[in-house]
Amino acid sequence: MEEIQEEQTIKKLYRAVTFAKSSIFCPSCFVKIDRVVKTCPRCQFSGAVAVQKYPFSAPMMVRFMDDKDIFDFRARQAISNRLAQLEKKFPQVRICFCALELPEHVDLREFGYWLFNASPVEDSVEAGKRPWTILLLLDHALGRVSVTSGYAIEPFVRDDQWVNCLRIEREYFVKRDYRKAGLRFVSGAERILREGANLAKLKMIDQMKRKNRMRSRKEKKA
Amino acid sequence: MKAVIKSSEIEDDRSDETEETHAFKKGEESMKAVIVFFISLCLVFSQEESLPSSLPSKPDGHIYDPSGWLLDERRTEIEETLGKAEREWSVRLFAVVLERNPAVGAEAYARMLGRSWGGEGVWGVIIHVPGIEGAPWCVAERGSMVKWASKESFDEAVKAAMDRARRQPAEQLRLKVACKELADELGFLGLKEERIERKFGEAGNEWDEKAMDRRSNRRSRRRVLFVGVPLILLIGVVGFFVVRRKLRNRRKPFLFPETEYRVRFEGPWSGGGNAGLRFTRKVGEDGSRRG
Repeated sequence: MEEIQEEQTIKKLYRAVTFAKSSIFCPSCFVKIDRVVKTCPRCQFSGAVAVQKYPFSAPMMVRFMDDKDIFDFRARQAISNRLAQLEKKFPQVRICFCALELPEHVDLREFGYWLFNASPVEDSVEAGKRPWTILLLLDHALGRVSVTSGYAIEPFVRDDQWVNCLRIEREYFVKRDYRKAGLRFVSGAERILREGANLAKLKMIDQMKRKNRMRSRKEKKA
Repeated sequence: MKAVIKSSEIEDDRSDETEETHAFKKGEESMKAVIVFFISLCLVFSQEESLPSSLPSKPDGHIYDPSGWLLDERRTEIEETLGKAEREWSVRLFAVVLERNPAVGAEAYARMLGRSWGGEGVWGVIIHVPGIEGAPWCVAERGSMVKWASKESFDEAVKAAMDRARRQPAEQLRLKVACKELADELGFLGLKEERIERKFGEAGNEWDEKAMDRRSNRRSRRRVLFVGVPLILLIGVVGFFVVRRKLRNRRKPFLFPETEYRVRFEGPWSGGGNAGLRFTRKVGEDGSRRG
C-alpha cells in the first residue's frame, strides 16, 4: 500500500474533494477506503492484479460494445438520439453501453474497472473523453448491471445515485426491454448530472465568494 | 199769410219732433235688450253661484238626515259601515235623506254634495227620498289623484251595489244595504288595486334589487377586469420570462469544472465504483439461468 504523492495527481482548477462526496471503494473487495491508494489495503487489488486476472485485450471504448446485439438496432438508434440530447447539455460527458456474458464468479464492478482502464486510448480525443465517460455494463445472461465512471465525472456523481437509478429502471431490465431500460438510464443519468451540475455551480460560487472575502481581508490588512 | 206760414212751420216742427221720438224709441229698445241680457246673465251667474251656497254643510259623521227619518238603530249601523269604509279604504261615503226630491234632480244634487264634501279622494253620496220610487240614488266619483280602477269597473261596482239595494223591500233597509254594498264594492276595488300596486311595487323593488345586483356585478366584473387582466398579463409575462430562462438554462450546455483526479488502484482513467445491481436470481443448482 502506498499513498499517491501530490506530484503524481493531475493538477486541475478545483480539487476533487471540493465536489466529491462519494467514498472510495475497492472495486474487488468493496472495502471503503478513506484516501487514494495504489493497491487495496485489504485485498491488495490493483491495476496490475486486474490485468493478470483478465489476460485478454479490451475492446475499444465506443457507445455500444455489444457483439451479441443485446441492444438491437431500434434500441441503439433510440438511445443514440437520447444521448445526442444529453451531450448537447453536457458536452464533456459520454455514456457507453457494454453488453456481455460473464461467469458467475466475476464481479461486474471489478470487470468494469478493468475494461474502463484497459480499453485502448489511441488518440488525444479518446484521452480527453475517457475521464468523462460513464460505462454501463450489462450481463444479460446473469441479469446484472453496473456503472463505472471516469475520474473527471466522478466528483459530480455518487455511487448511490447510480444504484437508485438502476433500481428505478430494474423493471425494464427484468423484462429485457433494453431499449426502454437504456433510454430511462440515460434520462436518469441526465438527472444525476443536472444535480451534480447545480451543486457544482453553487460550490463554485461559494468558493469564489470565499476567495473574494479572503482577498479583501488581505487587502485590508495590507 | 202769417197763419199759413205759422201752420206750415208748426207742421215742420211736428215732422221734426216725430223723427226725434222715433230715434229715441229705437235707442231705448236696444238699451232695454242690453239690460235684459245683462240681467239674465247676472241671473244665470247668481243662480250658479247661489247653488253651492244652498247646499247643506258637511255633517259630523257620514249621514245627513235633517228630518230624522232614519231609526237610531239603522243610523248607527250605517254610520259604522260608512266610517269603516273611510278608515280602512279611504272611501268617503255619505247617506243623505231628503224630505223631497231636489229641484236639480237627485243625482245632480248628490254630485254637488259629493264634490263639496268628498274632497280629492274617492267619494260616494247615496240620496234617499222616502216614499219616492227608484230611491235611493247614488253618485260616486274618484278624485283626479286616484288612479285605481278603470271608470267602467268603478261605475259597474256602483251600479251593482245600487241594484242589490233596490231589491230590498223596506226603505230603511234599502238605504242600509245601499251603503253596505257600496262600501264593500268600492273597498274591494280599492283593496284589489292596492294589492296590484303592492305587487307592482314589490316587482318594481325586486326589479330594482336585481338591477342593483346587476350593476354591482358589472362593477365587480369591471374591477376584476381592470385588476385581474393586467395581473394575469403580468403573471403571464413574468412566467414566460421565468420559463424561457429555465429553458435556456436547460438548453445551455454545461461544462463541469476540471478537477484533480483521484487516481487509485493504478487505474489511469477510473478507480472503479460500487454501483451494481442484480435484476435476476442467481444461477440455479441445476445450472439454469432464470431471468
